[in-house]
Amino acid sequence: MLGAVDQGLISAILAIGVFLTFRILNFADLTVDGSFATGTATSTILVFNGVPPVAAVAAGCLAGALAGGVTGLLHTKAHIDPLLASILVMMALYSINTHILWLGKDGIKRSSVALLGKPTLFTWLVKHQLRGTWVSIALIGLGVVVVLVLINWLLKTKFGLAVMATGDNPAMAQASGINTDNAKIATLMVSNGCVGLAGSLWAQYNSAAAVGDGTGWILIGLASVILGNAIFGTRYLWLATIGVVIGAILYRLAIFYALKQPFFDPNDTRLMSAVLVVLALVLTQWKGAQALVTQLSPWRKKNAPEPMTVAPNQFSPFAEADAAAQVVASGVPSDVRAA
Amino acid sequence: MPETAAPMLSVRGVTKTFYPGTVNERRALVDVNLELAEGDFVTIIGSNGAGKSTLLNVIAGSLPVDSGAVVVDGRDVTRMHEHKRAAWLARVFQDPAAGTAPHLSIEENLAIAYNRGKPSTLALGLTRARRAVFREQLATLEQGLEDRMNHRVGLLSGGQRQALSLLMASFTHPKLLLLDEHTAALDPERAELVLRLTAQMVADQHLTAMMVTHNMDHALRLGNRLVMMHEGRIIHTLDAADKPTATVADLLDWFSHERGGMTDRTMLA
Repeated sequence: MLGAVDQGLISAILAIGVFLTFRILNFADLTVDGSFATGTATSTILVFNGVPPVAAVAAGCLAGALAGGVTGLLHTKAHIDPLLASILVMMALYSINTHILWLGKDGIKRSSVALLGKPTLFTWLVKHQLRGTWVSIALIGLGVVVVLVLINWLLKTKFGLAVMATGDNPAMAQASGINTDNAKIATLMVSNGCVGLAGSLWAQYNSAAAVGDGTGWILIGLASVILGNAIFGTRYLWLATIGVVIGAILYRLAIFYALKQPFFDPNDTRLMSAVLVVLALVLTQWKGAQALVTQLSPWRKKNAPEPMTVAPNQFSPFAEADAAAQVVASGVPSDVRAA
Repeated sequence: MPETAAPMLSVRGVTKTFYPGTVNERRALVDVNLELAEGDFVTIIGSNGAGKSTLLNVIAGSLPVDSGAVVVDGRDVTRMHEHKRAAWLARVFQDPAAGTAPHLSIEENLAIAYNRGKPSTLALGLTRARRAVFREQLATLEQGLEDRMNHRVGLLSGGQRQALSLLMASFTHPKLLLLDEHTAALDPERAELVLRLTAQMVADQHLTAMMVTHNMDHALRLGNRLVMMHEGRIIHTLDAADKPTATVADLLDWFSHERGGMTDRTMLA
């Protein structure tokens, strides 16, 4: 079970990346499935070739960021829809990731590389049999806290405000002098940098990487974000991002316990992920569940400044409907947007 | 106003046609020329489709021109992207939701406006000193917003949002303030308040401003000049000398003159 928490913490870094695009930038970025595998492939092949593990992780993070940058360029400069731009990059990355895995110094073209006997970031933990213990949780958790602090700081800067405005009201952002193209590209790079970082750590944790490593991770990221935000809300950035980390751990635990049931086998994890996301999405719309969560969460009652007239879920997928309802409520016709 | 000074805004022969070459072709602006001296406050009236909003969009850069030039304080901005022009131009839109970010707090919205024309660096967006400035400025709106700085803008009423938009547009002292029917979506009482704030801000900060409106009374009460548009052209102008004596009846007269037999009311509906 503690091993599941280890895994949850590593995937939490990916989930924070997904939070940045999906919630803050309002950009459905599917690059994740590709950039995660780019992270695993890059960091693994570098360690395989004798590069120090820390440098390999940094390179995996950078490679992910570059992938995100390409998605950003396709969207902003070539005017391709976010979903399509990111699917295109995700597909292209499959080939690129294969080539990366072929870069082993022995020249053998493998579709998966194992790091047998090579030093990784986790070698010390493995040697002392501390993987999947409170020690590993504390150490990986420390890394996650560093990422959390960095991301929260970033969102508090002028750059962060520009990004949030770009996601919330692009027309207003432009009229306020914000270069929304650059804000989008930069955010996609930071987000996929997180994803690449998570991939790099994942590969070193498991001492292996394969071409197909990335498949399904966007769903895991989304599940974590939706789960975490449903519990912790999005009113406060700190709480929202901590919620995402906890969402990622809960997701892993849910899968872990589900797999213990005799009628499930590992093949079913993707089905479970999909069902979990649907459940989280449906439940967050249901008022009864919202009330229950609010009742069970002391921080919500304590910090709630006033009854919300806007839906409690900031950046919710239904934000547009909320805004429309708000406009109707304030007596302003919704069709008055300037031509 | 010294007549010799270079104009703050100069619109030269601007033409804009929507859907050219199709059955839907619409000539929104036809060879429009307009100059604003520093401190000029021009109100723009005209029927629907007269090109008032298009003119503002073209000046702000959210629409490219087909031909002609837009020059702000001696700088040709015709080919400049909207977000770059925003360093000198500020806008308030008709839709109260358009000018603010609803899920960000009042102070965050203000911080974004405060950074207008400056790069989005990694410096903190909100500091104690800046919050104090915001609080002071918000108090001038007389809406009690200074005590709700961390509330989301989406929670404010339409009138409060427009008042906030106005503050956000004006407090970096833009070279040109563009107001696009910014009271049209408000009830009469709120419209009156926002109008009063507008007049006050433009006067206090000696701003150069353009205000599009459907309300002829507002158009006469505010500003020192008036421009009447029809079918993409400027058909009548009132300068600082004539505007104080003009009446709504005069405006209606010019309108009906332009439209021949059509009644005034249908035109302005």
